[in-house]
Amino acid sequence: MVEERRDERAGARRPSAEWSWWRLYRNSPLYPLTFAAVLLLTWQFVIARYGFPGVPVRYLGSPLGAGEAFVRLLLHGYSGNPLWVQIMASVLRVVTGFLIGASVALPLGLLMGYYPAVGNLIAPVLNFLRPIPALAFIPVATIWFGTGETAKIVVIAMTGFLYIVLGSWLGVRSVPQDYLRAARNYNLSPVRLLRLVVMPSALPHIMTSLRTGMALCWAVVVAAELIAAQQGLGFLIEDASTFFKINTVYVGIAIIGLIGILIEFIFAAVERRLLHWVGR
Amino acid sequence: MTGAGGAVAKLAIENVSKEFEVGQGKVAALADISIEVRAGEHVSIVGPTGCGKTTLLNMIAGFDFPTRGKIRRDGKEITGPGPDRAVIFQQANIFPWLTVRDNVLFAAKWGTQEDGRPLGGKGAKEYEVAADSLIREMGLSGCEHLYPYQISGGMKARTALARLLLFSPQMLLLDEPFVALDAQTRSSMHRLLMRMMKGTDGKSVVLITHDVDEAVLLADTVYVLSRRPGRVVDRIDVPFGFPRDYAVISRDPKFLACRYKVLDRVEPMTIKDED
Repeated sequence: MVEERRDERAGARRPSAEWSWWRLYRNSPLYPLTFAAVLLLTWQFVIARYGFPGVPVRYLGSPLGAGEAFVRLLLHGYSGNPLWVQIMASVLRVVTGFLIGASVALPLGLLMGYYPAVGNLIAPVLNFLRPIPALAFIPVATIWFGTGETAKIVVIAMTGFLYIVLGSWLGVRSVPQDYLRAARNYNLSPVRLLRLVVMPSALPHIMTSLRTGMALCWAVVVAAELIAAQQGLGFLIEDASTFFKINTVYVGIAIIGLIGILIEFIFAAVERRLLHWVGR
Repeated sequence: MTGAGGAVAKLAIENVSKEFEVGQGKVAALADISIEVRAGEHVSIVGPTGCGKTTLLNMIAGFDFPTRGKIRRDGKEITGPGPDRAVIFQQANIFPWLTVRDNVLFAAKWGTQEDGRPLGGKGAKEYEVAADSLIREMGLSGCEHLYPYQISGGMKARTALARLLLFSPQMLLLDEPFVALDAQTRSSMHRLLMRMMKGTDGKSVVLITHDVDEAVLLADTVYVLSRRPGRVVDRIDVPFGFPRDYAVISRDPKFLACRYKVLDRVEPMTIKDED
């Protein structure tokens, strides 16, 4: 028995039993992968074979070539280190920088929201810094802190900080007045007000800023590693490209993308648990 | 300072005026309001939209202050909000991230009295027991562990009321608490409110509403406010005991007389289409 469901968009037809295999496919994870498969097949059998205007064929690489490169990386690692060491080098930098940035940003954002005098004092500086690409600060950080870990982590922490502080500030400012009045009505202590009313109420904004902040940090780590690093996915991409190992570069790029999706997935799962009540 | 019954006034609003600064000028919201609420008295304040009813309630609650005049509770001037005057707002402002039970427990468990003692004045175990029986009494059984988005508007209103009743405040301030509910749910909330107020030893209620039926049904005394700036244009006694059964009382000529007296005062002030 096929469940009847109307789709108002684009005059969708009423589904019937004959089409149930199609519906099964539409609802399976295979469906969105189809488009990716078409792109890869086109690349493999059309572009990699017949070329692309303006790019020599030997620099195009191919999905199968990238697959081979991936297996080679798994077996032999890269530049003396196993692949997982390269991945973990990037992940650790991001996690460290993100945690440092977030742990400064969250209290400061809450403080700014709690005391408008603090918020109005600090906000213009933050608003000035935020749209500047973190890339612009990498040379500065390198001059100050050298080419070691510190420079990279500082840039990542700053990226996360700038985004998260504004998110938690906005979160506190958007706590509904009725909630604050109720809290004052029950004579809640300032600590309880923060913990039991302000924090949960601001949590949706805070989670969004953590999620976006994390995505930005992940984007920045690769950029930071492109410049000066002996390990990490950014290093792998940069180093492989200087030797024209184009398929290895693709593997590095694909791993970055997959970890990005994984991060989104983790945050989405946490939000589903923590914020099931939002917007309903 | 004695009320009509000779008892000490619980709440005394003395010649209160309120003005708001709007741009360069000032807008008068309330002008020279004087109202007394005795211990245990149920007062309704009714008036047309924009007459400053909510402003008045906010000042009683301590969220706002009069431009002129004074508001005293038990002789002391009100300097801020406090759990002795528990407020229910227009939107049942229960917390969406807490279950019904945790919302009911919230004020009694986490609130404090002015001297810093816990609001409920009991041990944690005792609240839990009291909360569960209150939940049962208010028809919320089976909803304890649901979140506000999973229950109806009427259930939310019950939850908001239960949250206040659990710590038994001296005075309830209701700002159009049932305005968002449909007619049946509203009248069941009226019955519930009267049932819960019965025998609660001197608990005063101040209800703000623009619904004349609601104002008369739930009050010992109805004050009618004029259009802005709000002034008291009439004070009507409704000499019936609580709880009242609307189906019976709404046929009583004496009750109807009160209702029409209020209606005759309010009706000319409402904005008409042909104006």
